[in-house]
Amino acid sequence: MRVGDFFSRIAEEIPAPAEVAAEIDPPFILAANVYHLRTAHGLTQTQLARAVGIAQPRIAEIERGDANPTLGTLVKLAHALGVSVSVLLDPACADQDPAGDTEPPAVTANLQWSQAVEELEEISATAGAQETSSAAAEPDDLAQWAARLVERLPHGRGIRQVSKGVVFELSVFESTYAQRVR
Amino acid sequence: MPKFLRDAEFYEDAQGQSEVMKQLGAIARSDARGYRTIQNKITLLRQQTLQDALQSKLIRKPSATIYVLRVQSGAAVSYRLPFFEPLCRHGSLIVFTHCERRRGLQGDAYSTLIEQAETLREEWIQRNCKER
Repeated sequence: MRVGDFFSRIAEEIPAPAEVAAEIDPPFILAANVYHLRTAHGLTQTQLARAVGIAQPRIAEIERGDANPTLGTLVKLAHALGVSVSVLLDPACADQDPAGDTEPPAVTANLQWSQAVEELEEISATAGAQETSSAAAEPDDLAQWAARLVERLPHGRGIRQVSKGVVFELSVFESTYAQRVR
Repeated sequence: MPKFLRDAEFYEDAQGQSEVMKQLGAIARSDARGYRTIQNKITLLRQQTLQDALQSKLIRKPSATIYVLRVQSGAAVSYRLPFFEPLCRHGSLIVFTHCERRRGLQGDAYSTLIEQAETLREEWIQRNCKER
């Protein structure tokens, strides 16, 4: 018997208690929507996790409906997938094709960001230099790091970058750090 | 309705008897939330490729032919639903054979369950994939 027919039969024979029937299931709606949007954009879980600034197993947890992410994570997820938070929680979202077949701009930029960070970290490791991550770097190091990073990114302004859990506004980033060393 | 990549069925023998449907009916009576979580997990599984579901650990593959859908319902109650994908249906169908509480699958019980699922798979294929 098909599962849909069985579930319909059970719903008639054994109605769920009112408190259960009235509940909505946000984790499962979110799971279906994140999976739908991620695959529609041709992203792997790892690429999405990197763009959002969380670990890949966390994306896996979300996509299997076992996660109850924070608002902050939801906002970053929505941004990385090029939609609003309300779309992520919309039961009808998985019925629709996302606009365009390519990666959303935020993800593209975030991937470039991630690649740039990786490249810079490799350069840093090769040169035996100190830690280049923004969390650990001194302001002067960060300024140099930022300047090199901005040179590598095609979008100089107005792109919100999410990396390693920190939200950057590149225009602010550029004006506050990069210009100091120019 | 969400977009489904495949149909899903519950196993029935040649006489129309189905252990998995009996088990699910019992869960619907005794654990309404658990039953609803099972419904949701099956819906999610039907929307994902098996490869993606494996990566997300939504399912496991304990043998070459049997997958297991993992369902956590609340803190202490979990269910395991073995299923198979008949090759004669070109990946368009999955068939669930059992629905067991994880608590009852200690020791050899899990491997016994997988063996039973494999037996049902062979029987199902003999009955439904004759042309192959």
